[in-house]
Amino acid sequence: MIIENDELELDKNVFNTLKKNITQLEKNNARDKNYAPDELTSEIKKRIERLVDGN
Amino acid sequence: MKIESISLQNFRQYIGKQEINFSTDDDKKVTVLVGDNTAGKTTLIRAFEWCLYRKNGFKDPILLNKDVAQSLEVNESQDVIVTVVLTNKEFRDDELCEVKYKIERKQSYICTGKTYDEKNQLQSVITESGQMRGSIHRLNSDGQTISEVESGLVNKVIDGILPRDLSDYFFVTGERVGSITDDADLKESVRGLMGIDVLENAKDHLKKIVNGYNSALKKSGNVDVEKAQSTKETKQKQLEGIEKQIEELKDTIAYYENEKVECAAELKKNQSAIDDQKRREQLEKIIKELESDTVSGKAGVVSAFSSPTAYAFFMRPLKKKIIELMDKYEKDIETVPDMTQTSIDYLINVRKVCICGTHISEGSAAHQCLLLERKKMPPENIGSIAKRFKNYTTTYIDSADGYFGAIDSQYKSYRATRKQLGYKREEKQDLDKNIGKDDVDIKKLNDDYKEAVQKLETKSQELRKLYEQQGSIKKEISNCDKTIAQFLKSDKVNSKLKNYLMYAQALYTEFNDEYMQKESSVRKDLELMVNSVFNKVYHGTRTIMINTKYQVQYLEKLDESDGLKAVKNLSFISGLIELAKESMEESDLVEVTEFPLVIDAPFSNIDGTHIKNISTIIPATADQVIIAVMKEHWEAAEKDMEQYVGKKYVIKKDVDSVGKEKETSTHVLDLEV
Repeated sequence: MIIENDELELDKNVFNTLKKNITQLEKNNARDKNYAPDELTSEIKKRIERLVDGN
Repeated sequence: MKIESISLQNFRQYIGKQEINFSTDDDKKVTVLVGDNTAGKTTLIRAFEWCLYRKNGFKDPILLNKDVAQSLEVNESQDVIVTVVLTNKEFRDDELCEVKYKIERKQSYICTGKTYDEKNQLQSVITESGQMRGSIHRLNSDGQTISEVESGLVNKVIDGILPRDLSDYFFVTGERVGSITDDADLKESVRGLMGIDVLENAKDHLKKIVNGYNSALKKSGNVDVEKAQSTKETKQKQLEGIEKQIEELKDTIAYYENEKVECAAELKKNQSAIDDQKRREQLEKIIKELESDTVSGKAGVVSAFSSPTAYAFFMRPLKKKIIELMDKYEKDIETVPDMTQTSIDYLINVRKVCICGTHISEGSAAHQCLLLERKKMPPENIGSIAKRFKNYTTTYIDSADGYFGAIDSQYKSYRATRKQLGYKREEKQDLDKNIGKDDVDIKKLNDDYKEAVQKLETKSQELRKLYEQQGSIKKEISNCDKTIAQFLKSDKVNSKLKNYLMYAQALYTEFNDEYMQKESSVRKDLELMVNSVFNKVYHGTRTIMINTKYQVQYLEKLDESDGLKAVKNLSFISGLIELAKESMEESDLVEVTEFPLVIDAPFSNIDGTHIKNISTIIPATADQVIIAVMKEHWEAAEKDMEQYVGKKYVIKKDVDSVGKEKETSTHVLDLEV
């Protein structure tokens, strides 16, 4: 919905990759409990920044 | 997830170390373990439960094999170990790969002394030594350890693979097949299995990130943006409150929907009792009317007996007798009415002319006639009076002519009313007995049903209002977002942060929408799925309902056989698995891609039709089936299941030196398939 909004100028590929990554992180954590909640928030934030910056 | 093997060391009657490898083939997915009663079939299921979930379902909690325990010297110890190796398809570094887990549970036991039992035999006194330990190793395909799960996380990781709350649905002992729908609230586990918890956690984390970026943005100096930001924060708090209320209301609505359905089903089931109660109410009304009619009818009869006509009626025989007697003397009393001897004397002596105009001279025929007539008249004769009395009596008798008919009809009517009253009272007594026997408070049921309908209406209205408010607040937030986005677009200082924020915001919205949608639909979807499986194997008209705790129930509360219970519960398991798989395909949210079913004695107390049904459901339900059965039950099911059998074992009790089966040790023997 938001991806199609030109005003926000989101890259659909980046968005989809991020969505997949976050889903995976959450799934893995539901299974492995690798991260505490705050650590996982930081990890997701890092992933967003890395992908948005194109790294 | 598929179970590759289980290894048991001194676990109950499984003496020494024994390993069973299960079929993991996609087509030949069934492993059969055939064994007599008490050979160790249920113990095997319990070994899985102990290893994975630390459940100890035995009356005697000592798990150490009795023969081993007996052989221990004082202060000597021995371990009970159960190891389960399973493979799970998981995403690792964005790749779907097969991960092997070795899950081990260990408990040490120590012999603290020796004592004589009631048979005067020396027995070891055994107690646990140290804590129960669990470990999980991730293995590569060669069985080498890649990593070990931190000990504090062992149980959480197992829960992540297959939740403990749902274990009853995947590790099913014989007695549980029929009673699997216990009081456990499965909501959270089903949410986990469907991936809803993943969505919820993702949206919560993203929200924190969005809030963090918003705080970090330098918006000072721009009044409009600061105002938009402040409004947005306020509105978001309101939105959270409303969304919480919506969720609570949805639960309430689901509760009343459930209540409504249950009351309707109960009312339907008790239709005859309802009819009886209605009839009783009608009868109570009729009896009241009849009682009133009886009282008035009785009063009418009593009043009729007290009336003057009654006297006339009851005097009729006497008066008729009088008239009969008087008729005998008719000629003697026949005279000119109302004339007296004085009148005749006046005609003879004074007037000398009769009324008819004839002259009366002494000795003439007219004179003689008048003298004769004079003799019948008063005062010398009462003939005239008697004549008058007769006429009056006749009239009096005639007046009672209709009386008998009237009182007869009145009395008959009174009797008929009383008879009717008696019948109705008897009918009511029978109904009272019936209604009392059922002991169903129909009025309360009706009231509960009406209350549920009314509450549903009220709560649905409240929900609609909340949705309207939610929509309106979302619109306001969206307007604020636009203002902020416009500012960020033109602002060079925050160029990096604004990009992060936009993605984080868009991701939050995406996860939140998906979470809301899934949360509201999963129970209905599960219900549809379970009914779809159930209808394939059950040819009756029953419908399965999933309540707010995700427990499985019939819509109609009717009796069910053990076989039907098993079919219903296995339909639930099947539906749950199907929905989880469907959910996984749709959204990539569910980690578990394969589901095992470990089931003991599913055919006990079940007739042939249901054995066939269950034999059809079980292989269709799960990706792997481990089934423990008695020989005769397997013979009944084999025809329908043999095409799926990949491995087959016999669980056999050991025999002692004289060939007698031992209760304390058993072995699993591999059979060729």
